[in-house]
Amino acid sequence: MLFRVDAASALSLAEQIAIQVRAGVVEGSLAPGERLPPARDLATALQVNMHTVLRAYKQLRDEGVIEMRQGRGAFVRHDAGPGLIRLTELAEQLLEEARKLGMSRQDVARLIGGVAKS
Amino acid sequence: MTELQRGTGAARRMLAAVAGVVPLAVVGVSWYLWRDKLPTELASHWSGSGEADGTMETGAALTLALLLTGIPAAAGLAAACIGSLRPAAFRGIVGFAGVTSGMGAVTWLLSAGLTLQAGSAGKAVLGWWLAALLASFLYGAVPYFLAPKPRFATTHHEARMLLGAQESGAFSRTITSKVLLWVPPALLLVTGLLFIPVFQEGHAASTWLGIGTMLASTIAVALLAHLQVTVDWRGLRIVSTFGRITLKHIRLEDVAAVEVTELRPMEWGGWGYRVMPGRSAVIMGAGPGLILTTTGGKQFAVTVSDPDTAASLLLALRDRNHDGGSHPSATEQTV
Repeated sequence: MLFRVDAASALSLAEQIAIQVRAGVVEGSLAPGERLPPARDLATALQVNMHTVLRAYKQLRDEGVIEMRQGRGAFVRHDAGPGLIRLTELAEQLLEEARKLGMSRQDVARLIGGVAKS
Repeated sequence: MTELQRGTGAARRMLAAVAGVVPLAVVGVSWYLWRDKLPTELASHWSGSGEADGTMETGAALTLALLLTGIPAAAGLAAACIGSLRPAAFRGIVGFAGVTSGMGAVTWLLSAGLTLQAGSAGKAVLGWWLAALLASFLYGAVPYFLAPKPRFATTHHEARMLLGAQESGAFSRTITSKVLLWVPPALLLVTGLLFIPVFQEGHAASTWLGIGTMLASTIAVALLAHLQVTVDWRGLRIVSTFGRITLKHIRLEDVAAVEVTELRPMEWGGWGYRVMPGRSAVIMGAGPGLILTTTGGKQFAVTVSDPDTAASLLLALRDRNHDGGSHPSATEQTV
């Protein structure tokens, strides 16, 4: 797949990488089970710090989009699909809106808990 | 293409096919000349360069030689008659046919000639003729170079990916060959079938070289079956996913032209890493791929899905490289 990062963008480099992996999963160019390039290789190819790529991969792992296998690299999860990506994006939007209102993460978690109960 | 070019093309095809018949003619003529002098058995196997340790009936040796030179000759002639056959495919066929028939003819000439010279099959000495036997496959080069030269560069890829001044791009794809994936298990099976009986008989010491060669080939094929193609500021690189061995690296400044096309294994000499005079290729099967022409005039082809993206990025990066600032972070901000 194609990765592009722009140092002039308002988004952080790690975010840009994460967005492209998510987009790849949604449009199908990254199939479930497919291996992502090793972080060191991608960092060299894009001329960014390896920790930047690792930060992106960790974020994607926390979102459940990819899994990191010890010593074997990062793979697109078999249950990762457009649905999960959409939900992740909605959650990010929710957090962003909550932050504007001055709400903390705990407040948001409590809010979701309350909605789930009702 | 002019009438004259088409004419010479057809003539060269015929010439290549005729060159493919020469080994058959050599076998036939030599048998005719020697037919009364040949003993009933010919030397057929040498373990070193000394006297023969295996013999074969003259009739059987002749039949084998006629088959080894006759079938390739017929295949070459048939290929020359198929007008729609692509030049690259024709070249591959006559080249391979020449390799086979060259080896067939030289084997016959040595078996019969050395037996005649020594007087009997058992006394035939191979000596330095071993070199002729080993070099006999080179005959394939004769029809190969007589055949018309294929022309691949037809439509050059012109589109460039739009990259920001501080933007960097990297294309990465893994390529897998279904054909090559089957080869390592098959090789292991053959190794087992060949060597386990010998091993059980207690001749282990003599088989280590054979087993080693087979295992080395298995590993070599396994390395080629799963590769990663990347395009970035370093250029185009082909790396084995297993072991991370760089098989090919073409730097940006060495890229003269890029072509996006449908690749056919037949036109590039088969599957895997192919090296031919003036061109090389990593072919994983029939399908979309890239053909790069270097500034040195050499061609390199690789099968990869989404070759358009790879080509556009490669050209964009190369052009930026030419204009200076090869490194996006090295480009000074002009705002």
